[in-house]
Formats: sequence, structure tokens, C-alpha cells
Amino acid sequence: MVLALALSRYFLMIAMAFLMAGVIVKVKSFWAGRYGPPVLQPLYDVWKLLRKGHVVSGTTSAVFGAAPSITLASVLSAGLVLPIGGGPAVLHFSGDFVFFAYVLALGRFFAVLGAMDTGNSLEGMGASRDVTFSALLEPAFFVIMGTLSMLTGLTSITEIYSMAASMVDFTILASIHSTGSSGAMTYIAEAVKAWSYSGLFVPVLCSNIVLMISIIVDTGRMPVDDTAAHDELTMIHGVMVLDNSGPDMAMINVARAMKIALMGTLVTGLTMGLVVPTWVSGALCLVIYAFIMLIVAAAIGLIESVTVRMRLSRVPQFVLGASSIALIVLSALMIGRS
Amino acid sequence: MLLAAGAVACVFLDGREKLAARVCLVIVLAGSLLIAVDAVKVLSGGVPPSVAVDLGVPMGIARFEVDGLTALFLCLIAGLSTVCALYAQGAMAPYFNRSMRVEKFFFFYILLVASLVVAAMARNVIVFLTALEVMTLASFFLILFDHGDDGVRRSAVSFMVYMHIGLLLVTAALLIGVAGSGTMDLSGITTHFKPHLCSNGGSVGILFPLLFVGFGFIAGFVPLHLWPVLVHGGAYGGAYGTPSRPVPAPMSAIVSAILSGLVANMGIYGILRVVSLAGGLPLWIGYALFFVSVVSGFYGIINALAQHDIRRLLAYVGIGNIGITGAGISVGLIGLSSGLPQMAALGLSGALLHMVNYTVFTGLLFCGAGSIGSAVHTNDVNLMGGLIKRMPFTGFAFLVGVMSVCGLPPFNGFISEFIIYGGIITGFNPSMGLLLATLVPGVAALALIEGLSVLVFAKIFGIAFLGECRSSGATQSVESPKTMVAAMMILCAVSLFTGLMPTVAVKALQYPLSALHAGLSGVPPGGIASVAGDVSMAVIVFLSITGGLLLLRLLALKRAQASTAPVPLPVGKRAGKAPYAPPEAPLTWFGGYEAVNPAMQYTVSSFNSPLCGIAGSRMCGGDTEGSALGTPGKTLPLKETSSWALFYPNAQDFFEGRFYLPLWRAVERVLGKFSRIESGHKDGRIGNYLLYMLSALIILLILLVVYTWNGGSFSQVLGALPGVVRWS
Repeated sequence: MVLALALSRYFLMIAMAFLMAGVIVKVKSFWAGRYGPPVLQPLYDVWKLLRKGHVVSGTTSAVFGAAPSITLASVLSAGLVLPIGGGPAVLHFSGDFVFFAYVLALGRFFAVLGAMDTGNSLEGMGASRDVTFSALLEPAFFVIMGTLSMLTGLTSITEIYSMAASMVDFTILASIHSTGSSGAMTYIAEAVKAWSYSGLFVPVLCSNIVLMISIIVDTGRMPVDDTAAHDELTMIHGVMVLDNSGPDMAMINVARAMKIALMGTLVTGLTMGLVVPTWVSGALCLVIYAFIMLIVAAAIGLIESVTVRMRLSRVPQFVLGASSIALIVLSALMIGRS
Repeated sequence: MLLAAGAVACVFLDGREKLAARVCLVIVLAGSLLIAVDAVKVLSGGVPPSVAVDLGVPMGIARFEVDGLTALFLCLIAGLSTVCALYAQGAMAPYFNRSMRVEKFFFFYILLVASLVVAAMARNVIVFLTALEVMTLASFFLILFDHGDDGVRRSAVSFMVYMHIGLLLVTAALLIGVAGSGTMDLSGITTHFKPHLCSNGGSVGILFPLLFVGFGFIAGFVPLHLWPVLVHGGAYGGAYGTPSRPVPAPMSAIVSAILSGLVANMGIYGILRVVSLAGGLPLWIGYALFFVSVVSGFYGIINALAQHDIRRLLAYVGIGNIGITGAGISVGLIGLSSGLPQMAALGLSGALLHMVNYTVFTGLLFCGAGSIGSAVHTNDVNLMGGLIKRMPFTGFAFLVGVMSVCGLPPFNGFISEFIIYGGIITGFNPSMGLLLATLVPGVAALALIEGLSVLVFAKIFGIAFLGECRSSGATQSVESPKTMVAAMMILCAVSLFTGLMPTVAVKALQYPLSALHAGLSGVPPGGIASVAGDVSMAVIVFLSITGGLLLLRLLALKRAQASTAPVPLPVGKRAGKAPYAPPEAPLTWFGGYEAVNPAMQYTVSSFNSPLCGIAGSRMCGGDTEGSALGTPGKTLPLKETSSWALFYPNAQDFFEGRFYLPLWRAVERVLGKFSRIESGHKDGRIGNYLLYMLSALIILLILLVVYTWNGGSFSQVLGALPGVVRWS
């Protein structure tokens, strides 16, 4: 029963992945004054690609054929350890965030191999950029998870998140809510008080910033990578898949959408721990989860609309900035604690 | 047990025949089986066998013992030496009938294996040191097998020098121990010093650091890491193997596999042995080792980035992995000293497992590199390309090795790194500031090392095995002989087994762990096993999802083919002009550009360029001038394809250039001054030497007199030395 519930939440996340991809495009279109494709267009695209045949370059080997499947499998299994909408993950065990990071690294490894297998210098270029930026991002995730693990004293993402949620004491808030005596301002004030008592507000805020940067870098969004670019020389992710078509391309698209959803779920889980009182549970939690995920998607779309692509030599600074934020937060916490 | 060592040792003479390969395999196999039976018995809970042999006056009673730690190491020796002997069956074939005295190679091979076995079992100082010395000499002659090559001779001599610095330090430390305690037995020495261990006073203060530094030299921690770099990568630098000479690649691959997998691990074994004998070390040693290990890991992988010579690259990656093992050990040490047994158990079992895994995948990678080398006649990755289509089995084996060394699931490297992470996370204790301040940057560094390994190996595998052939050597390459492939497949199977069934491996670590520290036998082994079991569950889920998706993909493609009419594939119109694609298959899409050729593929330097943009040339092994990698440096025209050129950054080791070479030059200068007294008088040479001997004797006598006069310890003699010199 627990597993079935966890699985259904997991499928909700997959559904959200498509929805988020659609919302991002919609927000961008809206900002540009266009109507934009339907929100479910990513799903239609995948369906269309799945029914098509494929063209494979004579240069490639079996690695090229297997790479998209392995990449998608890695993203899907990374999702299994994420707690969704306040509930426990499908799989949770001590140190599962290490599994999360490593299995995603495996997916990236095969994405790079697939690109290199075509013998195309442009794809090699994209692969080299992608794997460099991701390698620089790797410590940030571990430092965030290390911080949260230290603050909660627990070692699996599910436990860390539920503990973080219960550390924010909303009992004061609950009493206000039940008496219904005061306005919105007191409500917010009390919430802020609850956050600061828990000592989680700053780390969660910084973690979310770093995770948002991770989304942007890892999934190739502006200002790091332009999904709408037409020039292969400036692309990162787009150029890695120049030779993929048919079901392979469909899987690559799903994997990309899923990656946004994975990182979005991490952001949403932390945010929900702060803003959603513990007495809220069940379906309402899932609705809030879906809502925050859509806000995250809209935020990504908005950032994409208002920023311009950075020079490629600037990207590493941006990425290392993310890691530095994580490290600074952590050292601040350590000084505060010890 | 001793019989096994004897069996290996006594058949040296039989090895002296032409085509001794088969004999060697049989001997090593038989010896390994005998050793492995004993070792497995101990690992599954048997009583550690122990034998004492009286070897006469200089050595005293030599004790040999197989405890958990020794048993684990013996398993490694038995396994890798057998696999490499199998590999040698095919690999040594090119050397037969070339008057290269192949039987010598096998003689030293067996000698090396035997000395490793003896060193692992010895508990007597002299026997231990002798075994290490024999190990070094046997390795030296193995490296020197192809002594016609200048590079080979140079790397063999460097190996001698750097190993002996390490051995010298170990010897010095152990002799201090012998002098202080009056016993030749290793455990006797440590029981004598144990009470003073934490006071850090007197000779104990230098004994353990000396041992650590000495074994660090053998293992190859930064900055003591030059021998792996020079041996694995120094010989045959760049392209080698002219048609007139047999290709030395497969032979030196065996040597590198054994040196890297067993001899370097001997250093780790030594450190672990010290840990187990000491029973508890001062906290600062744990922190120092952690720092050195993380630096080693980082330094190794950063330097691997710039390498285009596959063997030199593997040497640096080996240094990185020794660093990861060391990180595990130090997490264990810190845990022991801080009273966190769970952290200690996880750290040490992670380190033990990583030691085992490192042996497996380094063997696999070096064997793979040897196969490539013998097929393509080069170590230069930029001259390979497209090999997976020509050497599918080697390609597969190398891919497994690459994924293991990157710590990617579902292979063995992932499990050991996961357990080490587990140890570190267990140590995240908000009340211990120093611990946190060490471990958290450590985690970040380990994560960065992992990310960079993915970069390095995706690049290497992509350039060497995927895409199009980049040289005529690569086009003409063929798959290796069956025995070589079989040897690699065995290692692949071990790697996958450890990755999928980590609980079995972790349970086997129980006795080595309790041999390391008595306090750890209290930690329930089920705890570590369940940590590993959980993650292997997730890995199996991942594998089944992958399988499912691959199946779905096949179904989708089949349906697409069935439903649509067979459309002729868009054959490249100018396929005749493009030299690299068979005309039937479609070309890779180059954004509309059609005059493509294999030389346009991404190379090592181009793949590195985004990282070098931020890291600076120093970090990526830029040239010594310090100019950026992108500026014109050394551009070498290639012999076989004169129409294109490759850019090679100068990838000299930082410590070699900045520390060791100046040091050797200074030593040469200083010692050069002695050459005057050495051969100044041509006629009076013998008389001079007699004079030197006499004065040395007198000084020794004076020392002895002072020693007995003081009636004190060895350190007092050392302390009295300056006074004596002044007086004399």
C-alpha cells in the first residue's frame, strides 16, 4: 500500500515533467507576445517521435543506440529516491543521495559517449562543455545534502526532508488559524518567526538558489544554454543530439524534461517543508506540490525570457558561484553551531 | 600455507625453459589456488594459521601469519597474478622466437608474486624487509625486460630510486623499532611502543610518521607519487613500436597491471598493517592522512585530464584511487580516535573494498590498454578512434573498467565509494567543529573527483573507442587473442559481481576489519552489509529499468519499420568524397558541411579546453612557460598523416619539475664534490679507500663507546652525534 502510494506519487512527478516543459514554453511565448504551443505539446512530440523510424550514422556503434535508453533509465531511477509531495520516496535508504548523484552521472556519461560516437566535432564540443559544467556542479549538490544531513542528523533524502518539515514549528500558526483572530500580516510574521526558530530558513533558501542554478546548468537553460539557438557552435545540449532521431530522440526529450522535474522536486520539497504546516496531508499536499512545481517551471521560463546567453567562458564562473554559495552557507552554519 | 609459497618459489628453475608461458601459468595457478584456499578459510572465519621458523642468528625466529588482512591481500595477489598469467599467454606471443629471453620475464614474474606473498605473511622485520626488497628488484627486472629502449631503462631506474627511498624510510623506522624494543617481531615492536603512542615523545614520534611516509612512497601518495607516473607512462612515451621491433605494449601492460594493482597496494597494505599493529593512533595522523589522500585524489585526476598517453593517464588515475582508498582509511582512523565506531567501520571497510576493487579495475584497464597498444601500436589516444567496432570485446572490457573506476553503478567502484561516503556522512556531527571542517570539504572534493573522472574517462573512451579511426594503425587493428580477452572478461565479471552483490563482498571484509582493530569486531557487520544491500537493490532497479527501456526501444523501432514503407535512407550524395563512411550507411550530420574527415574529431586537448579556460594552464598541465593551453604551443606534425597536426600540451608532472628534478640536481652537485676524494689520486686509490674504511670504523667505535657510556637508548646516540663530530 505504501509502495503503491509512493509509486503513484512518482508517476505524478513524471506527469509534472511534461507539464513543466510545456509551461516553460508557454511562459516564454507569453513574454514574447506569442500564443505558443499547447501546454501538452512536449507529450505530443514524444508520442510522435516514438512512432517514427530512425536514421543512424554509419560511424556509430552499439553505444550510440544504447545511450539514450541508459540516460533515460538513469534519470527515472534517480527519481525513485526523491520524496514527492511530502510523502516518502519509492526507495529510501541511508546515503541515497549519493546514489541519486552517481546514477545521474552515469546517465551523463552515456549521453557524452553517445555524442562522441558520431565522430562529429560539434557533438564532441557540446559533450565536453556539458560534462565540464556538470563536474563543477557536482560538489554543490553534495555540500547541500551534507548540510541538510548535518542539520537533521539523518542520511536519506526522504528522512532529511520530512525531518526538515517537522523542524519548522507551526503550532503557533495553528492556534492563530483556529481562532481566526488576525490578518495576513500577523500570519506571515508568525511564519517567519517559525522559520527562524527552526534555523532552516537560510540553508533552505540558499539550497534552493543552488538547486535552481543546477536546473539551469544541468538541463541547458538560459543564461547558460539557449534551447532555441540555431548555431551549433554556441549550443551545449542541443548539439549533443544532432544525430539522434525517432524513439531515441523521444527518450532524450523525456530525460530532459524529467531532469527538470527531479531538481524541481528537490526545490519543492524543501520549500514545502517551510511553508506547509505538518497537519496538511494527503491529496492537498500533492496539489500544493504540483502548484509549486508549476511555479518553479514558470520561474525558469521567466529567467529564460529576461536573460541573454552568457559567453561560454563566463559559464564556469556562474557554476562555481553555485558551489561557493553552498560552501559559504555551510561554513556559516558550522561557525554558528560549533 | 607456507607450502604454497614454497611451491611458487621452488619452481623458479623449472621456469627457465623456452616458451615458459604455459609452465608459468600452471605454477601461478597452482600456487594461487593453494594460497586462496587458505585465505578463503580465514575470511570465512577459520583460525588464522601461524607458523614460526627459526632462521638462524641474523633473523631470529621468523613468524608467518595469515590473519584477516593478510588473507584479503593474499586473495588479491592470487587473483590478479593468475589473471595476468592468463593474459600473458596471448600477450607474450609476439616476443617468442625473437631471442628476447622470454623465460626471464616469467622467472621474475613468479619471483615478484612469491615475494608479495611472503611480504604479506611475514611478521619478522628482516623477512618483511627482504621480501619488499626482492619485490622491488623483481619489478625492476620486469620493467627492464625490453631494455633496448632508452625510455624503459630510464623508467626502470626511476622506479628503483623512488621505491628505495620508500624502503629506506620503512627500514629506518623498523630499525628504530628493533633497537628500541629489542625484538624482531612486528607485533613485539608495537606492543613495546603502544604505551607511549599518544604521548608523541621520543622515537615513537618519528617511528609512525616514518612508516607512513615510507609506505606512502610505495603506494604513491602525492607528493611521493613519481614512480607510477614514470613507470607506467614514462616508458615508450607517446608513439612507439616501430615495425622493426616487437611492440612492447602487452608485456609492459602486464607489468603495469601487477605494479599498480599489487605493488602499489602493498603500500596500502603496509599502512593498514601499521594501523592494525598500533591498535590506535594519534588523531592528527588521521587528519594528516585525510588531507594527503584528498590532495592525492584531486591531483591525480587533474593531471589525468591533460594526458593523451593512455598509460600515463592510467598512472595518474591510479594515484587518484590510492587517494580515495587513503581517504577511507583516514576516515576510519579519525572515527577510531574520536570514538565513532560506526564511522570507523564504514571508512575502513570502504577502504578495504576499494583496495580490492582498485586491484580489479586497474588490472582491467592496464590489460585493456595493453590490448589496444598491441593492436594500434601506440599509446596516444589521439591516434586511436573507432576501436570498438574492430575490437568489440576489448572495447566492452575497457568500458566496464572505465565505469568501475569512475565509481558508476552497477560496477564495483560505486559500492566502495558509496561506503566511504557513508563513513564520512556518519561523521557529520554538529558538535565536532574540526571534524566537520575536515569532512565537508572532503565530501565536496570527492564529489569533484568523481565528476572529473567522468569527464576524463568519457573523453578517453569516446576518443579511443568511438567515432572514426584517427590513424592507419587504428584502421588496421584487430581483436586480441582469446586468452587476453578471457583474462579481461574474468575481471569484468568480478567487477560486476561486486557491484551487484556487495553484501557478499562486505561480509568477507568482516575478519580483515576485526584484524585491523579489535574494537571494530564489536560493530555489527550486518550494518555495513545492509547499507550496501540497500544501494545494490536500487542499482538492480536501475538495471531493470534500463533493460525495459532497451526492449521498448526495439519494439518501437520494429513497429515503425513495419508500419512505414521502406524509405531509402538518405545516403550522403558525396559519400565518395567523404573518406570515412561506407557509402551505404548515412553520414553523420555535420550541420550541412560535407567535406568531413576523421581529423576533425574532437581530441584530448579540445575536449579539455572548457575546463582549462577556468582552471588555467597549470592545472591542466599546460606548458612550462605558463601560457594558456589555447595559444600555440608544441604542435607536432604526425608521421603517418602529414596533412594534419596535433596539439600536445606539455604535461610534465608539477612535483617532478618543481621539486624532484631540482632536488636530484642539487644532490648531484653535492655528491659531485665527493668525486674528488674518490678518484683524485689515480695511484693511491686503494690506499685512500682503506683510509676511509678505517676512519668509518673509528667513528663507529666512538659511537659505540658513547652508547655504552650513556647506557641509554638509540635516540641518545643520535643526540650525541653532533657532539662527537665536533670532538673528532
